[in-house]
Amino acid sequence: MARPRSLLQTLRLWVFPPTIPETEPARRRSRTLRFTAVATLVIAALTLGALVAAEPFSAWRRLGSLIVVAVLCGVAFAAGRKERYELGGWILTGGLILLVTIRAWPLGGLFSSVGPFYVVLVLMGGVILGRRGSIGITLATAAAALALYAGHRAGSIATPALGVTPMGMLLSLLMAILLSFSLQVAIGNTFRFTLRRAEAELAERKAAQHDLGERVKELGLLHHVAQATQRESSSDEAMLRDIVRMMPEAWQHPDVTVARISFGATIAASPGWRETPWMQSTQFVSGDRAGSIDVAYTEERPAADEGPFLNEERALLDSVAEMVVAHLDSMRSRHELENLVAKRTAELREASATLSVSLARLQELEGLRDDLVKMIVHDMRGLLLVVMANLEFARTEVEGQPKSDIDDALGAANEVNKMANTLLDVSRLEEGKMPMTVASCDLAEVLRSAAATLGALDSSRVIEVVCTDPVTAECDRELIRRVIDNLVGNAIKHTPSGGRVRLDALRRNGQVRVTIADEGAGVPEDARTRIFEKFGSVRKRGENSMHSAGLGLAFCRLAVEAHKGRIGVEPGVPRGSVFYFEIPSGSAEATA
Amino acid sequence: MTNSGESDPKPNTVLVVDDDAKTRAVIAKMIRAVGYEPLEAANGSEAIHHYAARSNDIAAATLDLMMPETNGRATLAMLSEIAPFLPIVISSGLDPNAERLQGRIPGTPGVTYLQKPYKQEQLKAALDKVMGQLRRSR
Repeated sequence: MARPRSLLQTLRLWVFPPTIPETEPARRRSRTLRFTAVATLVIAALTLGALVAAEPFSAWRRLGSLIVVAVLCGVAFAAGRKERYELGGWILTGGLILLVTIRAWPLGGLFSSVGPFYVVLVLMGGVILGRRGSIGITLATAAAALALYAGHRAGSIATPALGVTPMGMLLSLLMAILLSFSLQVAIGNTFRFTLRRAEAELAERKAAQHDLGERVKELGLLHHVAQATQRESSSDEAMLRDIVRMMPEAWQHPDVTVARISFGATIAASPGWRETPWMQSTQFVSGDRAGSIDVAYTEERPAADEGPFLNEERALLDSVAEMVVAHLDSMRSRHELENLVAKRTAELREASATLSVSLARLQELEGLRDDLVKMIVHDMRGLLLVVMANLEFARTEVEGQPKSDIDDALGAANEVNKMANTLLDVSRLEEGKMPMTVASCDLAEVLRSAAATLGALDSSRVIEVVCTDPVTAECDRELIRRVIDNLVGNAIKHTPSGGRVRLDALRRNGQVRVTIADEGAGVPEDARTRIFEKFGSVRKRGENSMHSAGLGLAFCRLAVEAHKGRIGVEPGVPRGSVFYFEIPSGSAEATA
Repeated sequence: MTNSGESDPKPNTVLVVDDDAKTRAVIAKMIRAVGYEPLEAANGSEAIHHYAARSNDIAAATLDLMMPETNGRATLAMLSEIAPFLPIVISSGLDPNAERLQGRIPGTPGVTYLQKPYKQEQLKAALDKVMGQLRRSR
């Protein structure tokens, strides 16, 4: 229990408040004191020196004053060095008041030049000692003025006859002292106000800078999170661990901050993570899993917007959560897509494998079919040898009808032979295994040869070859000859007796076009493609149509296509049909 | 086998090798018609056997390539070995390009290919051709 302070103690504490050493105000005041002491001494020395020069008779007096001033300034300076600025201030100002008063005593007291000195000393007191000190100095100067007045009243000091009483001078002096005091207070206030404002501004700036630093840390965290989420190679767990590692730095008090991110079964936490009463959390959902991000202070910290956390930190936490969710969603979509693609790829592979198997089977069957065709044709040929040779022998031994019958039989056997050959050729062309010898060939000449051969067999129809100049193309002469034979043979069959079959060949746009025109009944429009298919012939009754071999035109088509050409039939003008085929002429020859 | 004192008569026999009896018969008939004496063999082993017995007499041979026992190709190969100078007419129902023959193949002197069915004249021409080639080359 402290003793109640005595009046003297109170006075003492009030005049000499305890200085907190090494604080800014103490240092400032001490600096001011030292400066004032030095300045006072210098000015006093200069002035007193000038006065001695002006009034040499007062030299000793002035010197005495200077010594006193020097002592006072020295002591004040030393006190300032030790930061005892009140003591120093009082010694300096008090000592100077005393010196001025004593010097004024024999020089007219109140009527001497004490006024300016008192005013200056009040100001000096305010500057060095502050507001409280300046009250004391004001009172001291007032007391000194009163002392001089008392001297006048006592007759110690001579009163000049100037028409002003000592009381009048005293009052004027007191007024000056008071004005000085109030002016000093006003200056002090202005100074304090400016100082406080500057300090406030500085504090504001420091706070702003601190805030800026905090925002930079937050941005740093967001940037880091963005980078972590863009790293595609790392797993979800690795990414969360990375983020959790960087999070504490972005909070106000990183040294006590710990963080944790949990997502489904995955948990990533700072070392030393534990739940505390000072926590900040946010929840999120990605796909069918939930997660949360938690930040905790392991020690209590000053309260802010949300517990010890700032609004900005809440915003930061939510931003981090948003970025994490966006990344997790995107990865999930990507995985789903990848899975889908893998599934489809597997399905496609399976389908492809099935197709490969089917293809292999198909090729196998085709091979078997080709072998079958070959075998059938081989056997047929063997049997035909027996049939035809024996018929030939029999033919030589008979005459008349039997001979004619045998001729018919031989004719039919020949047809069978041709059918067998055509069947084999069609099979080989379809397989792509028809051997072809390609050479330059004059188609006009082939037409003339076919016309001659086939025309010789049937004189009732005229076979006319229109083209006269050579028409050359690169082709297998044998195959093309057989195509022409087939088409000319068909034309003859379909042309009535006495009718005309016209053959022509011409070059056109790098192709050679061969046409065989007959005067038959024509081919109906819907059959014009079908007839070139295997067994797709047009069957007609009547004298001028025979059953055409189902394979002949198919063979022609395949043989022409093997030359990369095309075949077709158009209506003849005015009647009949024009069968044509076109094949590339092959070589870049000049006009034939 | 001849054991007369006259100069070696020209061999006049043509060996007919075919697995079908009717085919053999008709070929034999054709051979007789063109002035030769047919000697039938139903398979490759018979053919080799006949040749071994009457090699001096055999002027030429017709050979079917598709036979069940000792296939024609093997027979051709064997004949090529034991009778390198025997003219041969290979007859078959298959196309010439489809064969993969060993030994003397069509195109070499004394061997030619004749596709069935053929006429008597064609057979004669073939026999004349192969026999002529080997006579000249001796």
